[in-house]
Amino acid sequence: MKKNGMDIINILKYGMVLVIFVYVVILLVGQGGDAPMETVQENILSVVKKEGMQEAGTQEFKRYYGLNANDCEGVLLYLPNDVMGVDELLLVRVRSESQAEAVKDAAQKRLDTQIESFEGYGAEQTKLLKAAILEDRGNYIFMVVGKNADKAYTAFKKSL
Amino acid sequence: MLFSSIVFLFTFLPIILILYYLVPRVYKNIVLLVGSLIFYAWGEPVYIFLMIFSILFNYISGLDIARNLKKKEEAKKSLVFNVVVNLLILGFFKYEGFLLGSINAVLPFDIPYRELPLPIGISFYTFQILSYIIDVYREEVEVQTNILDFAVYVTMFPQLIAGPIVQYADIDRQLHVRKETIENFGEGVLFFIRGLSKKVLLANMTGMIFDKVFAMEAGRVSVLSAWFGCAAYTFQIYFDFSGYSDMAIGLGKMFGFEFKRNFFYPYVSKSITEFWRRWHISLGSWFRDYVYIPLGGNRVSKGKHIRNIMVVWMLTGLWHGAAWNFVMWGLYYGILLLIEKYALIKILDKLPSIVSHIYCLVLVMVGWVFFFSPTLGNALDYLKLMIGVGGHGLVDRQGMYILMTNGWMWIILIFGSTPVVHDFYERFIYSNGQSKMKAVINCIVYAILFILCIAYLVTESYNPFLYFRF
Repeated sequence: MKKNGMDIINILKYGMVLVIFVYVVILLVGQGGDAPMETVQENILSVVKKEGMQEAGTQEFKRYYGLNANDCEGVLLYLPNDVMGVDELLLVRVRSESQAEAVKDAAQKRLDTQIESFEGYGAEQTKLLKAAILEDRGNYIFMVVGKNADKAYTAFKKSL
Repeated sequence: MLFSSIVFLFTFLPIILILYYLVPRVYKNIVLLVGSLIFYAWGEPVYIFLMIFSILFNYISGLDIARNLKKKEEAKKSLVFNVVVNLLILGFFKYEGFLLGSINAVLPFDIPYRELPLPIGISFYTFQILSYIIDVYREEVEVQTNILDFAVYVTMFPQLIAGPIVQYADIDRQLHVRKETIENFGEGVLFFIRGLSKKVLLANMTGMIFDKVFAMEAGRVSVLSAWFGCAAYTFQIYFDFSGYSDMAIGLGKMFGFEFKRNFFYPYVSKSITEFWRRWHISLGSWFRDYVYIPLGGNRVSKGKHIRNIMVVWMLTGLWHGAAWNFVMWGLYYGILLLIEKYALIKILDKLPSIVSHIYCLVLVMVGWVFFFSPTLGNALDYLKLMIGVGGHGLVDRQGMYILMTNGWMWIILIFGSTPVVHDFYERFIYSNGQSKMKAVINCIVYAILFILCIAYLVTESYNPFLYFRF
C-alpha cells in the first residue's frame, strides 16, 4: 500500500514498534506509580479484611523493618495482632530509587525472618508467607501477606 | 480474574454470555473482544496497553508479510523483523532479570537493572501470535484482514492467560464462521464444571499436602514424606493445569469455538516419549511445528538430531520460567527423550506394562522436583531427601500420617488421573440424550460438584492456577 511514494504499512509497522518502545520506557521510568499515597492507601484498605491485623506506627516500622518512617514520603503498616498470625500489609511511598531498594530489601528480610520463625510448625502460616506479594511499582513498595493478598494487590495495581 | 473466582462465575461470565447471545451475529466478536479486554484488565490494568499495541503491530506485520509473499526475500525480512520484535518483548519482560542477574553473578561489578512485573499470559499469547505470523509466511493460512477477528484470536479470554496455545490455523475459520448450539453449550458447561472441580476439589486439596511437606525443615523429612510431597505436587499440577484447560475448552464451546484437547491422561504413559504426547499437548505441538521441524526434526544426522532435541527442550524449559531450575528441567527431559529414542524404547516395549509405567512415573516425579523448587540448589536438596540423604530416615510418623489421613484422597487422585472414572461415567451415567433418567442423574452429579466447588471457593483463600506464572 503506497501513497505518494510512502509505504503506509511499513510506516505503521515501525511506528507501532516505536510506540511499544516508548511504552516500555514509560513503564520503566514511572511504572505508573505516581498516584497520591492517600488514594492508593484508601483503595487498598477498602478491599482488605483487617481481622487478624492492627495498624502499626513508626516505632513498629523501625522495630520490624529497621527503617525510619520519616525518611519516606508515606508509610502504611498493618501488623499481625496475634503471635500466631502472619497477616501483614505494608505500603511505602519512597523518595528515591535507592530508598526503594532499601525498603524492598527490608521487606524481603522481614518475610524471610517470618518464614524462618514459622517453618516447621506453622504450615498454614508458612504457606501464606511463601505466597506473600512483594512488589515495587513507581514510587511505591507494596507487601501483603494473608488470605486476601490478591484483592489487596489488585487494588494496589489499579490505584497507580 | 480467575475462572475459579466468585466474581467470574457469578458476574463476569453470566453478563458476557447474555450479551453474546443477545446481540446479532455481526456484533458477537465485539462482545468477545470487549469482554476479553475487561477480563485481562481486571488483573493487569497497566499491561492491557502492551497487549493492544502488540495486536496492532502484529496485525500490520501480517499484512506486510502477505503482500510480500511473491517476493520471498522481502517477506522473510518482514517475518524475521516481526519474530525478533515479539521475542524481544517476551524476553524483556520475562528474562531481563534472569539474564542480567546471571551476568551479574559472574561479573566483578553489577549491571544495574529494573525488573518489571511479568505481564500475565504473555508467554501464551506471544506464542499464539507467532503461530499466526509464521503460518502467514508459510502460506498455510490466509492473512487476517479483519482487525477485530485478529484481536479476538489474540485476546479470547477462555485461553488468554494459561492456554491451551491455540494455533491460528485451528481457529481461523471459527473466528468468522461458527455455530453456537444448545448441545455444544451444554457440553461446554460440563467441561467447565469438570475443570473447576479438578482445580478446586482436587488440585487445591492436594496442594495442601504438598505445602505441608514443603514447609517442613529438611532434617525432619523422611524418604516417605519426601516422596508423598512430590506425589502430591505431581497430582496438583496435573489437576490444576488440566482443570484450567478443561475450563478453557468448556468456555470455548459455550461461545461456539472448538479447541483441541491439551491433556490426555499423561500419567498412564509408559515412557517419557508417550508422556510428552499427552501432557500440555498444545505447547509440544507448537515447539514441534515452529522449532523442531524447521531445525530439521529427525530427518538429519544423529548429531544434528541430538542438537535439535536439546535446543527444543532447553527452550521448553525456559518458556516455563526464567530460572536455571527450569532450564535444567527442560534439559532433563531432552536427555531422557534421547536415551529413549536411541536406546531404551525397544526395551520399554518388551517390559511388563507395570514396570514401564513405574519407570515413567518416577522420572516424571523427579522432573517435577526441578519444577516446584524455587532454585536449582533447592531442587538438588529435595532430591537428596528423596533418596534419604540429610533427612529423617526412611519412614516416619509424619509420612504415615500423610498416607493414612489422606487415604481416600490418594485413591481418588490415582483413579481420577486415569481414564477409568471418565469411561465408567460415560458408560453408565452420561446418557447423551438416550435416557431421561440418566440425563437427570448427570445433571444432579454436576450440580453437586458445582455446589461443592462454590462452598469451597467462598471460604478459601486466593488460589491461582500454577501455570499463571508462565
